[in-house]
Amino acid sequence: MTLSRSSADDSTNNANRSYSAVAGTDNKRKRDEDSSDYVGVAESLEMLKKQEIDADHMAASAQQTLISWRSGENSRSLSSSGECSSSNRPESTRLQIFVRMMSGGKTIVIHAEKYDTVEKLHQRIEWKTKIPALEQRVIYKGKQLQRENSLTYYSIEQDASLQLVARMQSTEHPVAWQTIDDIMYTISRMYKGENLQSNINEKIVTFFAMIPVESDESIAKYLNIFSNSSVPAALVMLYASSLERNKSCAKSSVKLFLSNCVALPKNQKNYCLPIVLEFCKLLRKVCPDQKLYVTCRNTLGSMLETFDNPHGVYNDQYETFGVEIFPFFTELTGLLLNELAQNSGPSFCDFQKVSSFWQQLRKVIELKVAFPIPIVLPMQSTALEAEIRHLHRLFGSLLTTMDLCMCRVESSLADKEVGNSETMSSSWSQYLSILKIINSMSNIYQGAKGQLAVMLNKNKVSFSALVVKFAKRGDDHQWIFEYKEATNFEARRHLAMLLFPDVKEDFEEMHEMLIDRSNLLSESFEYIVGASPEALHGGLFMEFKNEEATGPGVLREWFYLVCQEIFNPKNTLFLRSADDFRRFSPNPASKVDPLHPDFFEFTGRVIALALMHKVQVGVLFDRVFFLQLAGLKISLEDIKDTDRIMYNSCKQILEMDPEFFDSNAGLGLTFVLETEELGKRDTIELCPDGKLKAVNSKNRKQYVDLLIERRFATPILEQVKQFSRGFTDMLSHSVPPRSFFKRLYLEDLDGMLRGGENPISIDDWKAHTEYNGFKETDRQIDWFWKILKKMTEEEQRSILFFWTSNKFVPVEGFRGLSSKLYIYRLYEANDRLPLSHTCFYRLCIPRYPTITLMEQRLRLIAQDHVSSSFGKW
Amino acid sequence: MSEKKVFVFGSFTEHETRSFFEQKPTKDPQNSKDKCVGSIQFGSLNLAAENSSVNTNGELKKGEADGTVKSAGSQERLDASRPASSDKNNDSDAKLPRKNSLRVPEHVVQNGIIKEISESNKSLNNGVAVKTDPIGLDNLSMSDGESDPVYKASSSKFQALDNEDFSSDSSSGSIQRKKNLKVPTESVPPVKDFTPRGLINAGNLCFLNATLQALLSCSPFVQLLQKIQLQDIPKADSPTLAAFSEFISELDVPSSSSIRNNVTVVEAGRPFRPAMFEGVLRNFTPDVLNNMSGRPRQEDAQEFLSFIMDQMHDELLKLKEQSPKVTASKSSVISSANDDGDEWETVGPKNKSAVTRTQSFVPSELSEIFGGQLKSVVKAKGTKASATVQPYLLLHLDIHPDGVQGIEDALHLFSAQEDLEGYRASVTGKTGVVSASKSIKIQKLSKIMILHLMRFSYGSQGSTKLRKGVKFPLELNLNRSHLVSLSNESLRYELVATITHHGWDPSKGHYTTDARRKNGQWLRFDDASVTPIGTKLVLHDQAYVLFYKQV
Repeated sequence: MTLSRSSADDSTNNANRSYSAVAGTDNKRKRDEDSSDYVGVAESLEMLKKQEIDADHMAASAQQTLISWRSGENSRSLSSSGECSSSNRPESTRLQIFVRMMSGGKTIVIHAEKYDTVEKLHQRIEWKTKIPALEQRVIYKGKQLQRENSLTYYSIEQDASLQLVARMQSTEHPVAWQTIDDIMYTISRMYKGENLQSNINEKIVTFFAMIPVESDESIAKYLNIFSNSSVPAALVMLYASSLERNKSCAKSSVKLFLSNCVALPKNQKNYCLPIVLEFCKLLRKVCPDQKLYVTCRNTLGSMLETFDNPHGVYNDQYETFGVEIFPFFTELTGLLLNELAQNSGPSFCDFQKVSSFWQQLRKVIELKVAFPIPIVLPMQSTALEAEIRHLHRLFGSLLTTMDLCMCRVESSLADKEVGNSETMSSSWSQYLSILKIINSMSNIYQGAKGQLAVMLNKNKVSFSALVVKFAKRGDDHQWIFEYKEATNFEARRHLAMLLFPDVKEDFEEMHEMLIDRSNLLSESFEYIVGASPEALHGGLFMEFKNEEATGPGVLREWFYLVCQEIFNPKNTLFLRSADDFRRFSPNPASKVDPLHPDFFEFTGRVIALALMHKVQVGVLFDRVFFLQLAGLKISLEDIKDTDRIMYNSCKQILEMDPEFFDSNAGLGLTFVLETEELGKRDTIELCPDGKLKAVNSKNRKQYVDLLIERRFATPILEQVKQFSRGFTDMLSHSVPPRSFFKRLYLEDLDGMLRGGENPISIDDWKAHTEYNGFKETDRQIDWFWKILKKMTEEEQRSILFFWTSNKFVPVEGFRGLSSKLYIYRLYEANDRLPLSHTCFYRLCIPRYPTITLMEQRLRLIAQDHVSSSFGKW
Repeated sequence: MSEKKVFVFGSFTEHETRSFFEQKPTKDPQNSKDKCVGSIQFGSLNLAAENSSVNTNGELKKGEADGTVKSAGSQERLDASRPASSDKNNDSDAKLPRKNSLRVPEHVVQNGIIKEISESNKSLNNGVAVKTDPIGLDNLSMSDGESDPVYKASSSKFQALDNEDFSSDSSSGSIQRKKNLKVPTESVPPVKDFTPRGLINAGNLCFLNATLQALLSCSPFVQLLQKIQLQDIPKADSPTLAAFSEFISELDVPSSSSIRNNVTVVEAGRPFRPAMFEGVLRNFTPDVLNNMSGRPRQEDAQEFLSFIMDQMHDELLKLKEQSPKVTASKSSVISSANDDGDEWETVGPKNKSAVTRTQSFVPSELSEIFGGQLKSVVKAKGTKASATVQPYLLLHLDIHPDGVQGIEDALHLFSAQEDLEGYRASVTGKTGVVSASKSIKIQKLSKIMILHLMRFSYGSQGSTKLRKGVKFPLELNLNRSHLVSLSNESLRYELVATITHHGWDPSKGHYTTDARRKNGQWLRFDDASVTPIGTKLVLHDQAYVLFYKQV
């Protein structure tokens, strides 16, 4: 490590000196031109000298021949001839020079060629002395030699004495500085038109390999080397040059840098963001229409998605950061608007970039703008003033464009209903996310949320359809409930169901239950309450004892039966509403049984599981119960259907003429409530000293509010809490308890629990039924539907239950069921009773000979006691 | 007519002389008042003379010429009268009136038209010119102190007069030169004595500040800079010369602080940022973005010194190339040197004398100051000796051996004979390696000798700094054994500056400069801080670069 660091020290400054050599090139070239005249003279002198040398060597060779002849040794002759041939060279380029060491007082002899580079000289010195080449400085005639020049360039001749010197240099990352120096030097030479092999990409990889990991401060200092050296500007300048080779080299280098940035761990990637932003700004000026700029901008967008340390990276420059990324956000939003207008997009990737820029911009605005949010336009001087004005215009454009898009969606949906089989366009997939961004913008400006609400209400059909189609589990949809008025039942139901885990129907994951019909409630209780929430999240596998059947049909029957037991008033768990017998609320008297609180938790789980499995159990909740589950306050109008007598009494109290009311001494009322519970009468004070407090025209509103709360909410507080806990167990993790019910209205929950309010439509039923073994024109089929129409609604539901284990039809009718219904032909005796496979919605009947016999058989299975068993025949 | 003119001027002169002699013995305050009255009278008489000359000649041109001369004369009188009145009790009071009386004939003579009078004027002019210099210097110092525009104008006129005297007669010029040589003995400081000012370090710039402060203590270099300052240096072609020119101009601006030549107290000028060197630094380190503020790293001071000397040398040669005469002489120097080399090579085989190769600077003003010549002789067994002469700007001294305790030891080691390994007698032949030895001696000394003590080195642990103490004297007498041959050059050098690196390793540290002023006082320049120090502190043994000036 020490060696590597020291090596970089020398290389850094040697690279620096290379630039200074470039500055002095003109002077040296001129001197070379001046000396060219002398070269001619030297040549003539050299020729004269050569002749003399040749004559001298001829004599010498003759003497050596004589010597060798006398001694009789042939080897001497060979050696002699070799010398002659080498002596005949016109001029030798070999040099012998002396290098004085930096320490130790020693001089070494170096053999070199005249046209060797100084770099090669450094390597020879390194070979002899083990001093790294990058660590060396060589001085001759007062000059420090530059590596890329030749020895001849410095007029180094035979027996020249050179001085080797070391240096001091302070830098925290010497290898990094050396790497950056090499990059800059290469770029400089390429920009001047030199044809050399580029090693910039290798240097970039080397630079990235050495990024420190200890602390944010060290990372920032290290990466600042890249910025302080102006490498981004140099690379962009190289990219903008006219030479195609330079352009392609710069392009690959920039792309390599960007890909390395994206691959870094997060804390290092955060500090690369300013450099990528610098690249974006430079490329936007130089070549805004080219592909490299788009690549760079996209990289910046993807890095902004995970950028979570703005204070560490930008510190007090956070406002500047906002100003700098705003042009890119504007650019991308412009592209988005174009795609929306042409109905050609945007794709997920395109939208993701806009979103990431917006998230960072929003943070900057929230932190740096002096005015409280929402902002009232026109505004006085503040930070990011121009950007905020521009953003408001973008908000207007986006709102208008999305309005057009939503109208287009509605037209497509209308065409689809008529009969056009066109499916939803893939270009609609990002509309919901775009609306979310528009909502985020509307938080900044006063009155903007109102504009968005108007637009969404106008396009309610489109908005709801988009929600049902594209709202996914795991995303954040909380913003949609700010515009609840713009959604319909299907959209709200979809959003509520997203809170449940997905049922996989994997047998390995299912929770198995084996239930004895005679002990339905107690055994179901143990199976459900005894299980962990995780086990139940995988779904239920239901089987009745002594019966062969399994599958979703059995499960649906179980849900219906167990709810019938739970909500049976005889079990004292729930009470029917006084006016609407279909609605239930917890029974205040249920606290008598010590085990009953657990049963409310059990009930919460069962209701949640039924909703999760999309089974209509036919039970409705009272409005008061629903409001408590949603965490909302109960008002006078809410008890209208629960207790009409009390509703009318309270209404009279509030609407009575004040003078008349007071003259009658408040009808003799005080702040007390008389209750009867299990035969025991009691008087409860609504507030401290309630008995002594008379009701008058001024406090009668308070009296009514306290009365309602004490009468309806307080008695079942514990039961509601237990139910809510059980219900929440079935939701996905980290979901707030009341969020499910907050997403719905009471009518929505009614539709999910009981299905449609209307009587069963026989025509709808028939339209969703297919036949096997029968033709639609057969007389038995005609008889079947005629008989069904003559039955009562209760008998029809019994037939449906026998057929599918569903007693109630979903809100949207039979198309809401998981599959079509089927009538199969039994090839057995013609007088047999019908059979059914509820799992597959299959009813099997023989070919009855007469309509009378068919009617008799169908009415038989419509009786309740007959239809409640499997496989007993 | 002409006789009348002579009569009028002569009578005034005699009258003035008589009144002066009459007043001198008494030396009473009342007499000084009489002097003022006398001067007024003289003025009125001159006006009368002007009128008479106009009336007699009838030419406007002559009248105008007389008018300008008289106005200058009147201002001189005002200047003379004020110091006389202010220095009533001064001993020099007696001298000033004499000078005043002598000055009047000068102007009277200048008014003369007859040739006979002009001949006598020349001799008088020579005498007067010699004496006017002290007056000008005194006025200059006074004007510096009082900063009065009137005095500044008068001082500039004095300078103009001096210049006229220079250009008018070559003999008077020679007299002036001799007088300049005598100035040090008279202990009068020269005009260009800069106030010491600190240099602000805006971030890792102490190597620049230390180098500049050291160079300012080399008076031949400062003279070169002053010469450069007068020229119009193109900044694009010669960034280093332009930077130094601007640097000298910045130093030449008088600062608000006054100078007191006191050993214990020094009032330095306001420190400033050497921003004019930003271009030079950019050339020195092209990779560093912020060269002047927030510079990310330190540099080697000796490396920077070599760099700027190299750059200045090249830029000065470039300026010379604009003149054809210099080009001719340049080519002749190159050819003559090579001719000598060739002759020696051809004689070699026939004789036993050494073969000598010579490399030399193309001479520039910079190499004349800092440049010298080294001669190295290689003696190999079985072959003739080989000598090589090459120039140097700095001497790089090895201080690592234990035997080196001071500069003398380092110089001795520098010129000691050493054995060579791997030496080949004939590069072109295939003869084997023979034993050889090599020695280096100084053939020509430089006016400023820069000694670079090589403290930074590379060892088994990597890059290192040698913290060893090396003693160096205030006066250095070079040993003759370090020289090739005896010469008329002086072997005496005196220390003028040192650059010191403070720190324990080569990766960090700080640079300071100790520099000697002309009055012999030593100052320590630590970036913006300037403090006086004693010679004991100067002679600490941790110096990195030493600057010695030839005496």
